Amino acid sequence: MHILTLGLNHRTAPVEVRERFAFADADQTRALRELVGPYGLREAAILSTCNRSEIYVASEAEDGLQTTQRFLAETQGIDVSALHSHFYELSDIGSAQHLFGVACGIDSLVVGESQILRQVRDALERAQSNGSARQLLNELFQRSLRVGKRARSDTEIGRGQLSIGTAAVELAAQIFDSLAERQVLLLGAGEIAELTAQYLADSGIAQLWVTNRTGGRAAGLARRFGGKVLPFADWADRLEDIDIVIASTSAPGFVINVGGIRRAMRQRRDRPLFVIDIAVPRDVDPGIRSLDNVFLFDIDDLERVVANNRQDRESEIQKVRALIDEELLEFLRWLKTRGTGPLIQDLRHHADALRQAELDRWQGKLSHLGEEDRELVESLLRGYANKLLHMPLVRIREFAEEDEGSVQLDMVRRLFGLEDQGQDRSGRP
Amino acid sequence: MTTACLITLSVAMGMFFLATLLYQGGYFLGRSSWDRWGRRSLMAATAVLASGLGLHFLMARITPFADMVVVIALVVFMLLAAGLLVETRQGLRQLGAALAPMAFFGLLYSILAPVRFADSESILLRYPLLGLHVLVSLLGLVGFALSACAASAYLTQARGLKRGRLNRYLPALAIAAGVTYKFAAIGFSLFSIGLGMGIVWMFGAPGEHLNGGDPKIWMALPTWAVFAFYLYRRGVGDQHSSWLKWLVIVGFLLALANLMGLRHDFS
Repeated sequence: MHILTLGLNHRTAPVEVRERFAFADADQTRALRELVGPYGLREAAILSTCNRSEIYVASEAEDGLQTTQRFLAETQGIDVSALHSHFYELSDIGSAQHLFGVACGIDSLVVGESQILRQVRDALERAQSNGSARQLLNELFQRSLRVGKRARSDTEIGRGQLSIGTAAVELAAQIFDSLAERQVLLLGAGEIAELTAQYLADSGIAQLWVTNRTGGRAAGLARRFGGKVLPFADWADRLEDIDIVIASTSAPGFVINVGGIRRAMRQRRDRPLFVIDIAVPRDVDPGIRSLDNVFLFDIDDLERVVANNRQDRESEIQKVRALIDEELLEFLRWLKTRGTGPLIQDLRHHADALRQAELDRWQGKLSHLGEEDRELVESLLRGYANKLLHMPLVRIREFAEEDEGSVQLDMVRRLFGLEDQGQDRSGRP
Repeated sequence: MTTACLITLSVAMGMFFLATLLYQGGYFLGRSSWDRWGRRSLMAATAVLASGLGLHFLMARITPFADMVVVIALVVFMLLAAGLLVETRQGLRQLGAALAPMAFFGLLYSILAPVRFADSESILLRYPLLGLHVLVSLLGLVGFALSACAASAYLTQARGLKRGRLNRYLPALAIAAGVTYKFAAIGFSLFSIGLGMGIVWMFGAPGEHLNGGDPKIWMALPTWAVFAFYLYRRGVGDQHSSWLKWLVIVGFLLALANLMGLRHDFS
């Protein structure tokens, strides 16, 4: 069985490509069911965030990645071969290493951020609830969550990082110097937008306005940061007074366009406007960059901003990599010994069958024995079989951890005449 | 110009060059310690330049406006003194990064293309108002230079932000815009006073030293008009437009061309 990964992230693909490959929650459920249904993959999980979209599958066939690509082409209309340079394909230990890195936050836009851990957990739970995560992906994701937690508790990777929120504050300071008289509009109420608003609010902004299509959440956020709710239909009229806009709606198209901003800038007499677009797909038409004194930062721009921070945190990243290596070794061991389970089970069944066959064969000659003596004979046979199997079972576990273990395990099967059971088992759907 | 002055000027030039390299290296290689050394080097070079000018005034005992090298050295000194003060007081980070190459190339130009004002000494000695006119006009030029530096910082920072880059090296846009305006206003005021003094001298001085077609006089007018227009536009509420910062730079370049490229026709 192979673990395979097909994906792209903020390093390999610009936001224009990522937004085409992003899976909404409802799409993920459907995709998971199709991957393990009509497309015949054994297991599947999807990790889709602002910065990455990755499909993890477990497949007995070697062509699992091709199947996944076919799924994308047929259901999502994405031709992976045409976008080949943006996608990465990983298999087995490479997949595990990558997911562990993702969960630890070293592959994140903001190194060490903890939000990704929750997103990995969500991906696992979604796959479990759709029945597409079984033994292999379940173990892989559980272990990634474990190493992710260890990375944050055993190293400093989660502390002092430059997050999107703090980066936004720094950028705002480069434009306005002081934020004391600035008004901020939170357009949409996503989690990252909320964090960003938190940092800006802590920096002493004059006023926070919150608006989204569902007013309830906006009201909650406004209460939390001492801001005010703005009806979604009215936010554009407010742009005259707003200095910083944080856009994070889940709208499929642009919410902020060039015409609207041009009008607002005329009213503002070209006073600088700082726009942060952290939505995927994007909320803001990148054409607004061409307008004087409009400064737009999308999710990719923020990566550049935190790049220096990444360099500073290189030593912590090395510590996390060591943890990942430890966990990888454990996972590798588990993967290998996991293959011995069926063989051990077959051996035990074989011994039980032999014992039972011998008892049946000698049934007539042992009929004079009382119940107690009969149990004694059964016990003798069971003990004998266990003692006989003890050393082979120990050796089987040792073989599993060796490089050529599969050859030796195959030899054990042949020694005990279990080849048929092995083939039957591997042929199971 | 005395030999001692020339030597100190050359040493100062070398230090300006070093400061330029350190500032640029710090910026492009991301070494913040290089900036600190660049600033130290610039301050030391300013001190050396001041001592050179002092030596010249003490030893030559002639007006400072008799030699273009001295005039430019004086402008450079005033620019550096004001610039370093602004850098500290106004929070205009790394202004020195612009001042150091300006100082270096200014002195280099004056040495490579020396100009002597043969008759100016006698004229200036006879009419002190003319000396004051030159000094005030040069101070106005220093204001324009600082304003242009701040405008350049604004445009560079804005360009970086447009491209999605955070540049901690340069000042915030609000600070750069404020300094641009402040020094354009100061420079314009001084320059206007300087021009006024020149006009008073031209019409009031006995004899006829300048004719109406003097190129330096005519060239001063576009500079004055450019800064007047900038201040007008800013006054009517157009203070955030980027093109106004370009206007300041153009105005400064006109003033620079006038200082270095043209001479009064005293014939």
